[in-house]
Amino acid sequence: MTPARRLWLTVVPAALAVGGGALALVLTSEHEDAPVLTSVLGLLVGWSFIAAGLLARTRRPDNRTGLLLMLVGFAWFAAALPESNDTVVFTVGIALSALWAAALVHLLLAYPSGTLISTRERVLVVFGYALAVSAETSVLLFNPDPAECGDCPDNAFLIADNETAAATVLGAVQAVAFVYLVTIAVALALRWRAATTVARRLLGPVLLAGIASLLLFGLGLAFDSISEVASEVFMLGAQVAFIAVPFAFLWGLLRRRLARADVSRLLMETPEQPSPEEAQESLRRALGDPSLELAYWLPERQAYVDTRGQPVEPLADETHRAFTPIAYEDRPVAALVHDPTLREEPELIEAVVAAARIAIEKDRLQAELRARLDELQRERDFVRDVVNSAPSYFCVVDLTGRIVRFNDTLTRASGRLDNERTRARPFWEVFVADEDRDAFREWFEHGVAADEREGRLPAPPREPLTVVWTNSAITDEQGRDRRLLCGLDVTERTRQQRELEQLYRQLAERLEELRASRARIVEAGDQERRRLERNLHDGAQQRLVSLSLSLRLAQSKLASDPQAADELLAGAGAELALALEELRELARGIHPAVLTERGLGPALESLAARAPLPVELEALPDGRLPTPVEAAAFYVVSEALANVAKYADASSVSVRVGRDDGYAVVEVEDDGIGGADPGRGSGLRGLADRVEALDGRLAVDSPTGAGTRIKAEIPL
Amino acid sequence: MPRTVLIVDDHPTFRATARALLASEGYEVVGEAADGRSALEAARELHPEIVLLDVQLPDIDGFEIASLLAANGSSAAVVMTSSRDSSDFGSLVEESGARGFIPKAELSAAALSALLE
Repeated sequence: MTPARRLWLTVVPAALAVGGGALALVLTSEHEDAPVLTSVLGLLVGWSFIAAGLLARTRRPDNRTGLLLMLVGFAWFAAALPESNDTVVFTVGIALSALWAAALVHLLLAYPSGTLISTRERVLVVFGYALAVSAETSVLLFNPDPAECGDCPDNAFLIADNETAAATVLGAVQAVAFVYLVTIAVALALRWRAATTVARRLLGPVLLAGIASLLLFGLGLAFDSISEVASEVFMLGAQVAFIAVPFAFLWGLLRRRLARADVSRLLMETPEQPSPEEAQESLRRALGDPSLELAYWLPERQAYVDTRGQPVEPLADETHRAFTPIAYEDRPVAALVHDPTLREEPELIEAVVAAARIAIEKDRLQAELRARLDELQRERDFVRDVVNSAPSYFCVVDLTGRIVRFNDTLTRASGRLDNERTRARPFWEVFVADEDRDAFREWFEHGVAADEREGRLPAPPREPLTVVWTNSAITDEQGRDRRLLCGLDVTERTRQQRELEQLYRQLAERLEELRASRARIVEAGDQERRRLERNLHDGAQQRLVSLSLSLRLAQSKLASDPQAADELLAGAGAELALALEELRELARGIHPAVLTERGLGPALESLAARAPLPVELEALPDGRLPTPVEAAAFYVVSEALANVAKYADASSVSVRVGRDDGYAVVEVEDDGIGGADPGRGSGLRGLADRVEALDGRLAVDSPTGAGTRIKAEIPL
Repeated sequence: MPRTVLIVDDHPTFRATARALLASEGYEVVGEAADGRSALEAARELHPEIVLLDVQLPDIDGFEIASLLAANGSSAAVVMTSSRDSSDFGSLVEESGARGFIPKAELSAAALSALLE
């Protein structure tokens, strides 16, 4: 059984029993003038308080206001005891007849928490109960007819029928009660005045009805001895105000329920994306607390800030301000700093917090969504920038090769814009040159290939670019299968490669030439040595052998035939002279001494002097040239003159040697029959090798019948 | 002692000097030849006892002529000569069937006799 159910099962029968008892007393009373009216009013008042107390206790089991309301109700039924015809019951009833007033004071002072907070309040309440019982009791001591009715039972507490004492006690009691009631009324009024808007709204009806009831009751007491009519009027007013108390309380409950509905309405009226100020204003209106402040939780700072961005700390002492955090899934999202009186309306706070939690969470989700969208947008922009700035060409095509879209790099290279004129057209019709088109389409239709495909990209007005394409399978943003054709411009690379290959070929040719030239030079050297050996053997050596034999023969004849010996010696002398001449000629052929000692000019003069035909030296260099250059130049002229003598059938030869732009230039020109072929025979080829060994060039111009001109250019 | 000699050399100066030298020392120079072909012909006609044969001839190599003379049944003693040294020719002299080798500068009746004895 729930505590609420137990409460109702206990209180309702008790209330019915007490009410029934009271009704029975009134209806059976011999001294009640208006039993029906009194019964109806009595039951209405008593049960109203008890019912209101039950409701309050059920809704807020932790709040003692419900108990106090019920206490007032039951105390009220005690006031029916004087209706009894029994002396003791009547007298006790009289003594307890003001108890409801003390209970009402207790209720009002403890409202709305149901708990007395200050000592002063507790003193006032205790004093009130004491006064309520003692006042009537003290009057009973001296007044034989406290109810002032002829038919009433006797006063069981009467100790002396003393009218003076009775009047004195009554006056004193009334004065004290008046003062007490006024004090209470003033205290409550002061509390009202000090209350906040929220507190006033909460205190309002109950407190006003209570104050009115107490004041009127006090005035009734005050006028009791002055004007019976006035006293009766005040007392009636007091009762009406008193009856209003439970209804005021119920009105407060009803209004709170309505206020909860208002919360939803107000929050719904709040703009879709309220500013912090608008959200705060909505909450203020929803809770009826104009002092409310909305604080937001900043996860990065792990702190609350208000709508102006100022930090807000949770409050340790909630006497003046209350702090209600709003959490979502155990994470703080916001907090309300509000009037602590709102704690008395927890349902309202909870409703607001729940609504605010949803609204804030919605805002948070929206903010997250916006942030995510922003992020996606930025990411998309970033990817687009990367794709458009990449040096590669990107083109997305469908599975049949029709263009879906392509990047700016491809536009810049091809001059083709990504628009309706290019989209949906086969890629190769737009981006592959005519001659490569069929092969490219075949490659594409072969599927996603691991290998690359070279295709020339038309790039008017320039020459087509050489592009290497790859074909990859991708999925587009809508999940469709696509192909990504990715191209890299290799025009420059290809050009450089071709140049490099050409250079390599030239180098290889040059190397082969050098190898052949070296072999020829070696062979020429060998030939020259063989020639020298032959010349030495056939020439000087033979002469010296003969000389040796002649000398030996002359020696043998010296004694026997001096004449013959003399002839032999003469012959030997001539033979020796010939041998010497031959040796000199040979030595000159190996390397002319004049070239070494006096340079190219005198060497060429010597060569010309010994030539078998007229040689005109038209130009000779000033000063010496580098030794290898002089040697090469000398042999060019020497070989050329030898060739002229052997083959040209020329009448004259002219020789020119000079310097020109870092080169030694040697020219030999004859007026012979021409037709010399450098590729035939070893003479001119050997000369060319010799010149080329010094990085020079040899040119032979020998048209048939128009003489021969040999020109060697040797770098200095 | 064989005394008739055929001198084969392409240098006329040497042929003349050798003829004078050998004649002065008792040999009879029966003929001269300036090349290989003439040498073979002269040897066949003149039947010299000694052929003084130069190694280097314009047409046929001296060693080959020596072999040919032997093959033709010539009884002449072939003496190879050259202005070069015998060491320039290695074992060619022996292999050709020649009797020996005398450097031209050392040619004398004594050298010839020493070789033929």
